[in-house]
This record gives sequence, C-alpha cells and structure tokens, in this order.
Amino acid sequence: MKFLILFPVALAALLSGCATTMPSVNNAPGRPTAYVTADSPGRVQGIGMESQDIISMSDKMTRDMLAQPQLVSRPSPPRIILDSEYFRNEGSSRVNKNLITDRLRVDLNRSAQGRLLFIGREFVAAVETERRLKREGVTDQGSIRNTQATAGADFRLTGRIATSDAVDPKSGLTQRFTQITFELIDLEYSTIVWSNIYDYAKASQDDIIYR
Amino acid sequence: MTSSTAERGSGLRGWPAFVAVLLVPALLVAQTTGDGARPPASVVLRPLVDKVTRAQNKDRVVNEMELGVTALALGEIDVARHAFDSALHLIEITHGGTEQARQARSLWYEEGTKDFKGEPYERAMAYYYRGLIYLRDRDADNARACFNAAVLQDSFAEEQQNRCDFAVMYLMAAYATHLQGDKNARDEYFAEFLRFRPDFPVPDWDNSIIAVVETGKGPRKLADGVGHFQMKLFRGKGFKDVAAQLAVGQQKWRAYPAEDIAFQAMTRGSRPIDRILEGKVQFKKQAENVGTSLTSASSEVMVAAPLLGNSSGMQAAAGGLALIGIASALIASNAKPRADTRYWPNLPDTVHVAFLPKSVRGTAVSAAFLDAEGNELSRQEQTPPEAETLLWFKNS
Repeated sequence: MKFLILFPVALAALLSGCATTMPSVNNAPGRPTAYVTADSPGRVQGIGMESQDIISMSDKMTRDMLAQPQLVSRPSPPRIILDSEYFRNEGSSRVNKNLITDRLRVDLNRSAQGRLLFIGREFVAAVETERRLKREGVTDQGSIRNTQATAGADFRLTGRIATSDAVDPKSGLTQRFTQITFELIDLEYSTIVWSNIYDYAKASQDDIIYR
Repeated sequence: MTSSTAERGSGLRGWPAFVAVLLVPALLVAQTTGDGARPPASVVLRPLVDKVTRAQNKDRVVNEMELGVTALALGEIDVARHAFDSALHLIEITHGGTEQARQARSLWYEEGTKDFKGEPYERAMAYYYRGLIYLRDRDADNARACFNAAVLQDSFAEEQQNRCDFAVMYLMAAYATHLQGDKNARDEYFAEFLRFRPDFPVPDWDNSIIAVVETGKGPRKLADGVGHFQMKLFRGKGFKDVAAQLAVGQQKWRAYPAEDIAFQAMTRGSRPIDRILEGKVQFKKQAENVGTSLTSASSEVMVAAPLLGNSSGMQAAAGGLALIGIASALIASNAKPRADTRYWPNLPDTVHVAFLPKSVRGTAVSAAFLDAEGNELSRQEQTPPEAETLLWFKNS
C-alpha cells in the first residue's frame, strides 16, 4: 500500500523537476536599430575605454583648459597643435586615439571662441601643396591673404594612456585602472604649461563558463 | 578596447557587406588571372567567410579566428583585420547572465551551446594576431595594447606557476614599445621575456626588424571520461616542421623557438566549468543507478508478488517502481555533461622569432621550415618593403 501512495508523489516530483529546469526555446526576434545615448554606459560593456569615458574626459579637459588664464588671457591667442601624434597608448585597451584628441580639439575650438588657435599640422602636406600651386600661378591667390610661411605653434598636446590590470583567476574578476594624462608643452622652452589627469577603474566578472 | 570604440562603430558586424566589397572583386580577378599553381585568395577564403556568416552565432568567434589566420597567411590583411576585430569584440564583452551561459551550465545542454570565446591560450593568440596586424599598420600603440591584453588572458591559468608565462607576448610587447620609442618600458618587457627564455640573444634594437615564423599545427581539444565531460588538450599532430631558418642570400639566421603554443594550452589547469560538468556526470550516474535499481526491484517484486498473497497490490507497486525507474533513466539519458571541444584549428605549434638587420628591407628574405633533423621541408619568400617593421611567415 505504501508503494501506491509513494508512487504518484515521487513521479510528480520527478516530472515537476523536469518541467522547471527545461529552458524554453529562444525565439527572440532580435532588436531593431535604435539610437542610444553616448554619454552613459551602453548595453554592451567591458573594462576598456567606452564612449561615456571619452565624452566625460573631453568635457573635463575642455573646462579646465579654458579656466587657465595663462592660456586664454594672453594678448594674442596662443597657437596649439592638438592631435594624436604625441599622445601615446601604453595600456592594455586598444583605442583609437583620434577619438580623444579630435573631440578635445573640436570642443576647445568651439568653446574658446578665438581665444585659442589650433594648428592643423596633420594636414600640412595639403597646405603646402596649395601654397605651391598659388605661388606657381596655377591657381590664383585666394581671397584672404598671403603669408610668408605657415603658422608655427606655441604649444602641443602630449599625453599618455596607461592601465594597470588585476585578475583574480579564482573568481574570474578582472579590474582595470585607466589613467589618461594630458599635458601642454611649450614648443620653444619645453616647459609644461598645463596638465591634467582623467582616470577611472572598471571591474567585471565573466560568466563561470568562460573562466 | 571593449565595447565602444571607433572600430566597432564602423560596422564590424557587417561581414556580408564587407565581403562583397573585398572579396567579390578579388574573385572576378581570380577567375581571369589565376595561374593554377596556388588557389587564389578569394577561393580559399570564400568557404571560411561562408562559415562565419552561415554558421550558428555561437561559433562565430572560432570561425572568425580561423578566417583571420588564413587571410593573414594569404596577405589579405583587410579581411584578417576585420575578422580579428570582430572576434575580439565578442571576446571582450563580459557575458553575465545570458541565455547561452545559463544553458551551458544547465543539465540539459552541452557546454558547447555557449558562445565560443576560446580558452585563454586562444584568446591570447587572437590578441597576438591583431597585434601583428597593428605592427603591419605601423600602429605600435595598439600593437602594444594587444600584446598586453594577451598577457592578461594568460593570467586566467589555474596553475599558479604557469600564469602569465606567455613569453612571446612580452617579446612582442618589447618590440612594439621599442617602435614607440619608449626604451625603458622596452627593456622591462624584454627582461620579463628573458626570465622565461634566458638564452635569447639581446637584439640590436635600433638596427633590426623582427621576423616571426610559425611552424606545426596547434593544440587539439578532445573530450574524455564518462559522457565526454572532460576537455583534454593535446599537442597537434600530423606535422614535421619544428624549426625554421631565415636567409638572405648566403647569410642565415636560425629562428629562436620563442613560444610553444601547445604547452601554453596544456598547462592551463582545470577550469571552473569542469566542476559543473563533473556535477552533471554525478547526477547522470545517480539517476542511472536509481533507474536501474528501481526497475530491477520492480522485476523482483513482480516475481515475488504471487508468493506473498497480496498479488494485485504488490504488482501495482512494482509497476509504480518500474515507472519511476524508467523516468529516472530517461532523465539520466537527457543530462548532457559533454565538454566543449571546439578549438581554433589553424594555430601553430611553435612561434619562432629572429631579429634581422634593417638592411634586409628591399631584398628577398626566405624562411625554410625544417624537421627535427634539420632537413628542409618547405620554403617561403618575402621581400619586405622599405620601412617595414615585421616579417611574418606561417607554414600552412
């Protein structure tokens, strides 16, 4: 008799066990393209540099540079080269450095309203070609002016991206500290006239199946 | 770089469009100019691209890894760059609480249902190849970042003594750092490399370019144990090339075996997932035992029932036991403890490195692939252009 009572109970337990652990088929239809905000963490994340880091960093550096009287309150606006040539990545994250320097230059150029002049040294070859064509008479002289030479720079942005990584192999937790240094160097006297740092640390733990 | 840099933003996931731009014109050219001696790149790459685009998403990374190396060997740098960018993008995403991850842990699915990201040695090698491409692109910064990231992947080894011992990554990072002009950091990386390969000759950094030669076939993963729950790594087989020699005219350089990829794979130690798979096996065994015991007990009761008087009640009980036993056996047969044995099939067995004088630029440099007795098995030739900083040969 005991068996007759136990049988349905045990069978029900077994079947309910199966039912609760059987996953449903993933029939998710995908996701249409949607705009997401670039200044906050997105859906896809890791421990490297992301859009919100670049935007916050550029914002912080722009505000700090514009608050420096030795830069923005000179009788004649200083000329600055701000590109990625002397901006070095020494960290563990692959980064398109132009994302940082382009954004910083554009933000500064727009906000400074003529108090800072930016020199496009990256495009000097294009400028030289046009100047040669003008002087050879292939083209006319343009409508603004002629100058003896192209603009020399007073300052240049230098910088460094450095990271320090830590991994706990037991838990799979990975932590990365990223420090981005920005410095403006005097191109005659080699003094550093402005410096600032942007840093952040991120940690993440992958699923156990990937450790 | 993780989730949101320019490279991802520029449409890394768009293989079909990318292939249309790169390979279709190549295919048209191949049809008219193929010399028959060696299949044109597009013919070799097409099935691999198809594999990437048509296979299940969970296998995308391993297929892109295979495509990337093949494309690199064929000189199709754009395809290789795209393949490794896409693979690394998926590797760098942190997978937490996804459906595939949950399934891979569950009793009813094999580990192989998860999105492939590779074992640490495979992830490190993905960074290594991307680093080589960055060197080709004269982007020493990101090359260094890749070799750094490769070292980090090796930190996941379970065996303490084998953590971060991927020596060739330190050497490559030293070279990238040298190209950046950071001599202090270069010497630090190189000192770290010498810790593992103390007899490597100190290069004449300022007057050399690096030559990397890959020989043999990479490690294999096989499933072993009850229900194939144990993933075991073995050295690749079916190859004889174990050494390499570089030459320009009569001048020769023996390439130094800087890294044993199979050793890196085999010394990783056990994985946390192995314990989960072991648990699945134990469950499967127990469920099988319960099933077998109950069905045997039910047979015994059936036989004994007439002798014990209450035959109808006993037979009903025996039937119940048999049903539970069968259900238990069914559950056991549905538990899937099989380990994931997908692996990167075209990795090398050994990476050899030599530093050649910059004067080899513009001249034909040959790489001879040698067997254990020093006999030449095959030979490849490249002429590095002026300002080239990397020579890369793979015996395939």
